[in-house]
Amino acid sequence: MTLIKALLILSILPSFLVYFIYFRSQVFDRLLALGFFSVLIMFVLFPQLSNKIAFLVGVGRGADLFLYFFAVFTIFVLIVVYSRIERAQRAIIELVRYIALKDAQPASSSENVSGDSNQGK
Amino acid sequence: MSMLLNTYVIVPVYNEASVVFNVLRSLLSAGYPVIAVDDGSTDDSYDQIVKSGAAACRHLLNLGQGAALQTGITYALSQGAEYLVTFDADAQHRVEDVEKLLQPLISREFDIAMGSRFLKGGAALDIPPLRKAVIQTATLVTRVCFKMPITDTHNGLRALNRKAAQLIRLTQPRMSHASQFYLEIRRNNLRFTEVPVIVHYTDYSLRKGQRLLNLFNIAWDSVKEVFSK
Repeated sequence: MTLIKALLILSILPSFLVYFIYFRSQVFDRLLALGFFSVLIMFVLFPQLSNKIAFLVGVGRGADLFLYFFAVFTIFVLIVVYSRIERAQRAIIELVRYIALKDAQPASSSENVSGDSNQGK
Repeated sequence: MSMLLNTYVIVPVYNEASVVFNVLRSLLSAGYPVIAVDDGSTDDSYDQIVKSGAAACRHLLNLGQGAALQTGITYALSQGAEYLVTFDADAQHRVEDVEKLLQPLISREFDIAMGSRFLKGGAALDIPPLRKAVIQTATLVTRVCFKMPITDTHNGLRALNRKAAQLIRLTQPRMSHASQFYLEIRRNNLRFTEVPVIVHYTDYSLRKGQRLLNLFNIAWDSVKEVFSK
């Protein structure tokens, strides 16, 4: 484990956190995803380049570097998608509640209520 | 008994068509205003609710008991309720216990009163031993995680005063609202107490009861909740 590799790994998690807490926005999300994607394409098109960079940072081969990038990219996308889903669910709950309250039927007087229910089914 | 008019009993309902009418009638006969929230039932629970004469509203989609309670709370607050009591629709709870839960709130000593099956004077009648063991384990875990002296962590019989009801927001899916409830109590520094109540397990309510696997979901959601702070 070379020093550079260790530094890289240690810097990834905090960057993630900092990004998600402070810099989120749809524009940034897309730019980041695009950036990742471009790097990935580049690695595929220019394997020698990836090898050179890999050697620089202490990773075995370009293919390994590609894999690491791909892993980070995938995790990033999954987190974004998951939070989108959660946000949508919250919106649905608000909508359903709004409708429920809007159509709420107030308590009715019990003149026509018999003493026992007739079973539904 | 005019105090009762400032109280609202909130009953979340999901597919309880065969018992909900009687449960609601017994509450209404005791003089309590009742709001029943039908959480997207697929049977005719809603019709039974309307027939009983209780105030009724329904979720077009099933959102979970926490959301149904929150809707009921919102409704009760809009009607000016000073005290709110949550009550299960499956005939496990006793109407007499509602008054016991209200006393600590009316005396202004506490903001929240929670029913407990495991305090002296309370009981869980006919509870299957496996379920009891699981509940007590879950209770222990909750006590340790939240550092609160609670003896019954999944009891649907609870009372809140208006202040507490306005401060608490139940947003957890499915059945995890119980844990979120304690987090909210802590977050808002609400005064709470437990009151012994008697819960009667019938064949009907047991068949519908929480699957043991559901407790895994609750644990998962609780962990998520703690980390989302």
